[in-house]
Amino acid sequence: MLCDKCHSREATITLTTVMGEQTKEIHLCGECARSAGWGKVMQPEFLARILSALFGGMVAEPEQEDEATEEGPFSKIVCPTCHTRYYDFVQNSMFGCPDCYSTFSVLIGNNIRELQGHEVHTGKKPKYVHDPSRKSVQTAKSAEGGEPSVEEIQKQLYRELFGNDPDPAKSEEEGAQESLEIYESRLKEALREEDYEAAAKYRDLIRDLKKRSGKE
Amino acid sequence: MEKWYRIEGKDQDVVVASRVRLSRNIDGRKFPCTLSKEEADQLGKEIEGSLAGLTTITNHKYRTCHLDKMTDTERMTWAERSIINKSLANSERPVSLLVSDDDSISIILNGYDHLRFQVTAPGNNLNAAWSMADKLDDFLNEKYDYAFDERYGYLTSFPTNVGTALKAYMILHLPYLSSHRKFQGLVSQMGRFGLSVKGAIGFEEESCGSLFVVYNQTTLGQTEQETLEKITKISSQLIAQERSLRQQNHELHGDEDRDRAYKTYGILKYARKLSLETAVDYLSVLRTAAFEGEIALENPNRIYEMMITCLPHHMRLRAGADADDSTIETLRAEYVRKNLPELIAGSE
Ligand SMILES: [Zn+2]
Ligand SMILES: [Zn+2]
Repeated sequence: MLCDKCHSREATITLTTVMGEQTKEIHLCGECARSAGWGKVMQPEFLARILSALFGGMVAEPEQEDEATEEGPFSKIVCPTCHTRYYDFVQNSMFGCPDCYSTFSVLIGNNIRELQGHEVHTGKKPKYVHDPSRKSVQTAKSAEGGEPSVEEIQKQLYRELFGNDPDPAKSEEEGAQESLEIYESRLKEALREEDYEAAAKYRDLIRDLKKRSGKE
Repeated sequence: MEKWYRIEGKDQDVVVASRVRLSRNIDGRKFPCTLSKEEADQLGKEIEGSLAGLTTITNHKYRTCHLDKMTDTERMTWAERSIINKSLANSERPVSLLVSDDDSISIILNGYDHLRFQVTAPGNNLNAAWSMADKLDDFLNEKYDYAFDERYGYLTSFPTNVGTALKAYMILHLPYLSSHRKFQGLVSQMGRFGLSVKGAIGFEEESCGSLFVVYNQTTLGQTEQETLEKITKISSQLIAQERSLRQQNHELHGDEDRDRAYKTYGILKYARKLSLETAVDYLSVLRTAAFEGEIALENPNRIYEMMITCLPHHMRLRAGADADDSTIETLRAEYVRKNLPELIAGSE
């Protein structure tokens, strides 16, 4: 799918927004998303501003405060292929299609590293690749030196805005939210494995974390 | 074809089996959970239709079944055999299951991932299980491009499985070690290696029979060989500790052990009602005694199969949906009586 702004590059980012009864999807290439300030999408009010900056009157101010806080700002990011929202992922610890990995890579990179203890695959690779054009969407693109990956855009913007790399500068609240997501993933994994002792351990950790963040 | 659990394996006094599971998804397709029922049905049929060469490649014949056409009890028996997990057994999605004639290879189509295949080898032999899984992997890959990313490896519906998407399991029988005060500490140390230990069989959340599984929790950033070696290495330490505790115990209480082994045999051989716990725990005692040489039994490695068959849903399947608990206990005792390995003549 081509970018809605420049109509020339392939869109890699989809933003979904609700206007009354209607759902509007906006597809952007990395370049246009970057010039629109993609990194600020973290905050819902910025999303609205970006959308109206891009499309003028087409997009009304869609957010309702309470809904936005309940689902979190990232819930507006939706996988273009399977329509899984980031919010769904947080609920189920589960992706809907292979493209979810590139769609949400900005948001889940830390979680995967935290969950797995590593971030790069080192094992077997598929022996047969019949259609090389589809293989490894994300890295192929950034390796070509063309369009930057979503993650690179995110990092660059973060640097521009805050003058440092996103990783260590996490607020306590963000950190707690991330741990919560990781424990939820582990809990669900333990239940699927029928590893009840591990499940009990993660349930305790989740309860403690919720209790702590509730008090503060 | 002889079932895998009736074949002798390496270190079988402690190691029941080695198991490897791989998850794969077809590129350009939504994962099964986001497919509509029609799409899932279609994909399931398509994959099933493309598996014609499976028998040649693996040297086994397969039976195919469809989870959505089974009763709840039937599905749960597959969960008790660790062929599918309980959450899949509780779902009614159109999942297909192919199982080899010796029960050692199973392929799940449209479970949580498009393809999930599992290979079990008797005894301590993760490499044998892996090399069959690897072969199966290439066979399927020849037909379908996989969802694969240079960074995240094989893409799976759960990010807890990305990377190699390999889970390896070593099923251990640890009656002495698990009742030792050190055991809980050992188990909680496993996390440091990215491994975990869980009960292998049981009912609801209670495990029984002193059977445990060592398996890997993480799948990214380590090769398949590294994962297998780590589990084999940690397991070999558990095996050594179990044997040494058994040896110590034998030196101290040899006579009592022999007495207990024969009493246990007598109960299993003649009881008219057996609860799950009694059956499984007594079978566990008998298995240990047989491998210790306290009692001489034909085919003691078949006891594992009996422990599985004693589980509630297996018994429910035999007894029928309306059977009450008492009927099931009678049926369990009858099953154990008929299938208990014979004493080797002249050994008493
Ligand atoms: Zn553009
Ligand atoms: Zn998706």
